[in-house]
Parts: sequence; structure tokens; C-alpha cells
Amino acid sequence: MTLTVAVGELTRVLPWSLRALGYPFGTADRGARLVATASALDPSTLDRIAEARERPKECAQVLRAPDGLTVKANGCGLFEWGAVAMDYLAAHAGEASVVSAEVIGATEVEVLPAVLVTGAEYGLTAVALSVDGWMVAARGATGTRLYQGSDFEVLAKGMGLASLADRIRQAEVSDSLVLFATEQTTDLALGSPGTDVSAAVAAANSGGIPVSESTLKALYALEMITWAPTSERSRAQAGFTPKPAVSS
Amino acid sequence: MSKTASETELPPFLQERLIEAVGGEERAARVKSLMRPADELMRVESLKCFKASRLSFADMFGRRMIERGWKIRLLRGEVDDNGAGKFVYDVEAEGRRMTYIARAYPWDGIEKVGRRADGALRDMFGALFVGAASDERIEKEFATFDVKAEGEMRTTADVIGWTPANRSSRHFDAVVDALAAGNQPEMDFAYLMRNGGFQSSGRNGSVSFHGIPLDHPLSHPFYADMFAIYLVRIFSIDLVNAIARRRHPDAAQLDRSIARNLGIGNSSGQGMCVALQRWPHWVATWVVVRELALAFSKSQPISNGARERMRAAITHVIAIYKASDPQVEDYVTPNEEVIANLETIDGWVAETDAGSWNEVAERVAATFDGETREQFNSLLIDLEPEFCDAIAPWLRTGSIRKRNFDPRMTVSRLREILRRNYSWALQYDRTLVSTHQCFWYHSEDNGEQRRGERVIDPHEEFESFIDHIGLVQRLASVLTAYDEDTRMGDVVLDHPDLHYAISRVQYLEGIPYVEIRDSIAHRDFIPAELIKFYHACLGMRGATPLSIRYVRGTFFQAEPLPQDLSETMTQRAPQVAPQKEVQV
Repeated sequence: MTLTVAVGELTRVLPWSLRALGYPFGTADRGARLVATASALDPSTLDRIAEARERPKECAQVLRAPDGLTVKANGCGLFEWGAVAMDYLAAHAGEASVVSAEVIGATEVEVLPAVLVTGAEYGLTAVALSVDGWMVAARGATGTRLYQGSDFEVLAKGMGLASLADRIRQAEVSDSLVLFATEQTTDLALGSPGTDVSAAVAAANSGGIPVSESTLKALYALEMITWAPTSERSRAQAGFTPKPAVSS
Repeated sequence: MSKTASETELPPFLQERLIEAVGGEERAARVKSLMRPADELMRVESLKCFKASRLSFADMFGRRMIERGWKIRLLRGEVDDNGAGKFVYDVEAEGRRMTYIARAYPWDGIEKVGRRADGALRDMFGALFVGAASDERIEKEFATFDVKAEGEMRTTADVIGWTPANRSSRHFDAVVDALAAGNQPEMDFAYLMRNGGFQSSGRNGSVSFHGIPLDHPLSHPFYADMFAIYLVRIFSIDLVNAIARRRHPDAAQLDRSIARNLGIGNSSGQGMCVALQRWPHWVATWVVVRELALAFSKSQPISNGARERMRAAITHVIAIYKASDPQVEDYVTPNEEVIANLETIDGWVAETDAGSWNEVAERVAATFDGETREQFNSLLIDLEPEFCDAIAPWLRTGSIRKRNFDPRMTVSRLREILRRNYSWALQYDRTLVSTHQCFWYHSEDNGEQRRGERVIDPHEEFESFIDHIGLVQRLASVLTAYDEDTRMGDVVLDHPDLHYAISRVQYLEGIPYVEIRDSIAHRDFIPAELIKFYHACLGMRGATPLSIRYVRGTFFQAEPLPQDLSETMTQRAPQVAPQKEVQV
């Protein structure tokens, strides 16, 4: 019997695991959901999260410029800065045919599919470029689909939107993650049917997500960092003090 | 207190059912005018008084089992001389088969109240499967139970959840002794076992709630929880019979009339308050459905038939109060007082010439305490079963609302929502430390939720979310730094952690009765009061706090047994109440 972890279990445990790493409540809450979605699409995401580093104390730097947003994540997770970069793009997508952001130095980039799906849920066609290749999430007639590949020219030709194709061809990708988003209609022809995100999440909900014992233990071990030491005072704070008169 | 616009706007499904029931928008508006304002109803002082009704989850689930002819059969169940054993049940429900298994452990002499801190130390574990389980799968799950080590026990998504439970030390052995001697127990008792907390919705690897097929009868908030508790109740009865039989082949078996009066004991701690804060749309959904049903009942004339039904209901509920043993009455209106009040109300109902139930309800509210008021209100709700059943589907739809974030919303719009829905929170004076002195935290005792005091107790940085007033005030404060046209996408880029606060305010917009309008972090807040509210919505009867942080009560007492369900169904064809589905 393969060991699995439930989506509901991840969204219950991971907020605490991420808080143990130094992420504040609101960020950890969102991050947990993004990790759960990314893990539904690719279970190996959890292995990376289980090894995540503590959030650096130094805050990320954000630069808003007419030609795009730049986020220097300084070692913070993509579930924090990639997600808000996508929020920013959605907020400004109506101001230009294509809006863009560059995220530098983010960790836990395995949650990228979930970040792009967030953009698709905002009604965007969301594109990511990195040295490892490209990824696209978009809503179609059958729900949100996720596509990926390595050849940027295939991507540019398959976007069905000239302005977006131009930006893809002009993009400089080195150690950063480049995000594009557009509200305009795209006619995707990316050479594959892509992954049905809703179906993947539904399958994860009904069947669980495969996970190794060591990864699962590591995720729970992170959560337990947030548990306070017990004491007589602490036990009393649970509220139940057995009394002889109340024996059952 | 006046109502704001959003408080008078019902979700379309409820509005449509109301118009259908009363025959027009004008009459619907009159009913809605009887719904109490959120400023009054969403205070802890009001919520703590809620009582179970036809719209509580246990009641709805119990009716469903009966109306749709569920069958529960014990396939096998043997115990050894120490009382340890394995039981397997087959459930046939609405065209689906489910397996329930229960593993009983020998009595170790240790009283367990069912706290999370108990970990795997339980007197029994059970597993409810999504479907029918094979013998091999059943044995695998039994083997998992026998690991009995918290954190080492895992299941898979073919299981809806685990049902840990504990014996009542006061009653269990005494009942077995009586049966083994060939007698029926003579003492007065309400249950044999106590619920140890249904572990489901992904816990231990069980299926996520959204993974239960939509056409499955347990794909409804709290139905699996209620069924699990019901199954423990059935198992507790089968277990005492089996142990008595093992001791003596001629042992008596628990008389069905006695068994029927047994429920399952339940004690709940303050972790429930965290859940209520975490899922405010649950609270809003439960309250709007209950309050609408109540307003509808209040608007109805007092017919002779309704008068007699109300008087019979008062007699019945008085009997429940008389039968319950609160042990501690420090935090509630004493049962004797509620009983006396209900007897007075019964006299009023017998003699009243009021034009509608609202006049009686107003008199009750003006005369008696909150608990008596809400007990009467619950009885009023029960007077109109057809309307209750018509609006009940909203309890599912409203409870699975998603907390979405809108990055395009402007600061101006969010401020408008804050002013309309959260003026009470924005005006809340947090100058004194006492207003937010307490915080909830997980303890290393298996993660049990506890309530500590800021500065004094450690781990404040890992507090559970409870302080919604502080959250909203911080959000409003941050927003003052932005122009009106700035969008939320810009705000979260500067403050990623505000995603939760903003999405909470956004997704609750337009829902009546959102947010509990008191500081849960206040030094003087009594957790047991919100636990009581939760219990009432679940359908617990006789809930009384044992302390300011713990509430006990009983589920499913005097409800049908599986044999009753079978006999009912042989007497009549399944009757499924027609319900309009919610279109979303």
C-alpha cells in the first residue's frame, strides 16, 4: 500500500510547517494551499518543501517600473513572492496587452505551477520562463490546463498572441524567473493537450498524494516546532481538570 | 439596533424558497423583518444560548437515515476474555455500500475523557470506509490500529475517518455485570462510550472532504461526523452484549428500549473556538438558515394544531432537561430554572390569543433568560418542518464557499466593505491589554489546543488564528497608506501576509451574519460559550460546560437503532422529502 498524504491534511499541517520556517500566518496559510495544488500536479514538490530553509530575515526588494515588476526574493519562497507577483500582474493586466514580472532568488520554485494556476483563476493566461524551460496556465473550455516545455520558440509560436510572442522572444532568462500575463484571448497551440488541473486536484482529493515516509515525517516535524512545551500550567490551560466528582 | 443592507439580503436560494413558502416578495419582506440584526445575534452572549433544532446536523442526518432506509448490519463481532475484539459492520445507504470496523481494547482501568493529548491511548478505534472494504483491507486497518502510537498510524483515502472512543468507567462495567448475571441494568445512564474526536477530512491520510464523491450520502458537512458517532453508539451496545455473552453463555442482552435511550457522550475543548474563527462562512451559514427558519415560524398564525404541537414539544424538551445530569451549572442557566420557565411558557401557549407566534416569542424574550429564549426559538423552528427542509440545502452550499482573493479590487472598494461589515471591529477599543490578552496555541501534548496569556506564556509567535478584530484593524490601518485607486494586488505585494485578511473580508462580503462580533482573545471571553454554540449547531442535547473551557453532552440519545430503521422500512416505502437543489 503506497503511503499517501491527503490534500486536507496538507492544508491543515503545512501552514504550521511554513510558520515554523518563519513565514507569517497569512503567508503560510496561502503558501500551504499553493504547495497542496503544486503537489497534486507533481507529488515530488513535497520532497522539496520538506527540505525548505528558514525564511531569511532580510525582506525581499520590490521594484515597480513601467516595463515590468522586479522582485528580489532574497531566498524567500516562491509561494510568498511568486504568488504576490501574480496578484500584482492580475491587478495591472488591464493596463497593457502583456504585463510582466521578474522574480530573482526565490526558493521552493516547485510551486510555480500553482502560482501560474492562480493567474489562470484570475482569468489570465500566465506564462513562466526559466533556464529549465517554460510553463503556461490558462483557462479553456474544459477548465484550467497547465502546459510545459523547453523550446521558447515553440512557446512563442503557440501562444496565438503576437504581443506575447514578442515578449517571450525578447526575454532574457538567466538565474531569474520571468512571468508574463495577459487578459487578452489566446489561442494556444502548444503541441500537447496539457494537464487538466481540476482533474489532478480532484484525483489528489479522492486518492491522496503519494509521499515518502521521510518527507511526511519531515513536514510533521516542522509543524511540531510550533507546538509549545508542556507544563502543569499548560496542561491546566487545556481546560479539563479531572475531579473525583466528574469521573465520567 | 438596525439592520444594514447586507443583513436583509438573503442568498438567492434562500430568498427563492422564502418567496415560494409565503407567496410573494411583500410577505417575504415581512418575514425578513423578523430576523434579528447581526449586532444583536452575532454576539457571544446570543450565540452561546443557541439550542439544537431540526436544522442541526445530527437531526438532519438522523432523518436522512430513516427516510432513505439505511441498513446497518453487524457481520461479525467477537471478544476475548479481556474484552478485546474486532467488529465488522456492513452499511447499505442510498445505493452505496460502506464498511465500518471497530477494534475494542481491554479495559486498562484508565479513565480517558477523549482529549487530543490522549493520542493513541483509546479504548477503541473504528474506521469508516468510503465503500465496501475487502477482508484483506479490513485486517490491514485493524493492524494499523494495533500500532497504537500517535504519528505512526496511517490510513489511505479509501477511509472517511477514524472513530476513537473511550468507555464510561461509571457505566460500562456495571452494564456488563448486570447483563452477564442475566439482568437488565437498573441504573440511570446516558451512554456507554464517549466520542474521542472523529479523525477525518485528511487526518492520518483519510480522504479529504472534497474527495468524497458528490453523490455519496456522506458528502455533506458533518454527516460523516454524525454517522461516525452514531456507529460508535451502535458498537458500544454490541460490545457490552458481546462481553456479557463471553462471560456467560446465558447472559442477557441489553433491552432494546434501554439501548435506544443510550447516546454517545461527548466532551469538547476550546479548539472548537479556533475552528469557528477559521471558518466564518460556516458560522454565517448556520446562523442565517436558523434565523430565517425562526423568522418564518414567528410569522405564522397560532393554529390549534400548531398550539398542540408546541405544547407537546415543550413537554418533550422538559423531559430531556429533567433526564440530563449537568454536574456543573456554573456557566449556564440551571436546568431547573429553564424547566420552570418552559412550564410557564406552556401555560402562555395554552391560553394565548396572539395573532402570530412572534408575539409569544417577544414575550418570552422580554421575560426570560437567553437560554430559555433560544430553547423556545428552537421549538418554534421545529414547528415548520417543511420550510426547514426547503432551506436546509443551503447548509451544504453555504459551508463550502471558497475564500477567493480579488487582486483587482480597489482600496476604495475594500474600505467601503470594511465600513459596512466591520464597523463594529474598527470601533473596538483595544487600548487595554485585557481586550486581546489571551492566545491559543498547540501544545507538544499531541498538538492539543490550549489558551495562554500573552507575555506570560511561551510560543505566542505560533498562536492559532483567533484575533479577527486585530486582523481587521491592522488591515484598515495599512490601507490608510494607499490611494483610493490602488488595487489589492499592489497592497499584497507590499504586505504578502495580508492576503489572508483581505481575502477574508472579500469572500464574506454579501453574506448575512458574518463574523462573531466579540474579541475571542479577550481575557474575559469564556471558550465554553462558543463550544456550546457549536454543539447546538451539531445537534447535541444537554450540553453543559464542565469548566470555562470544556463542554460535555450527548449525541443521539433516544434515537432509533438499526433494528428500528429496518422495521420502519418494512412498514413503509422509503420517503424522501423533495428538496430543491442549490444551483451554483
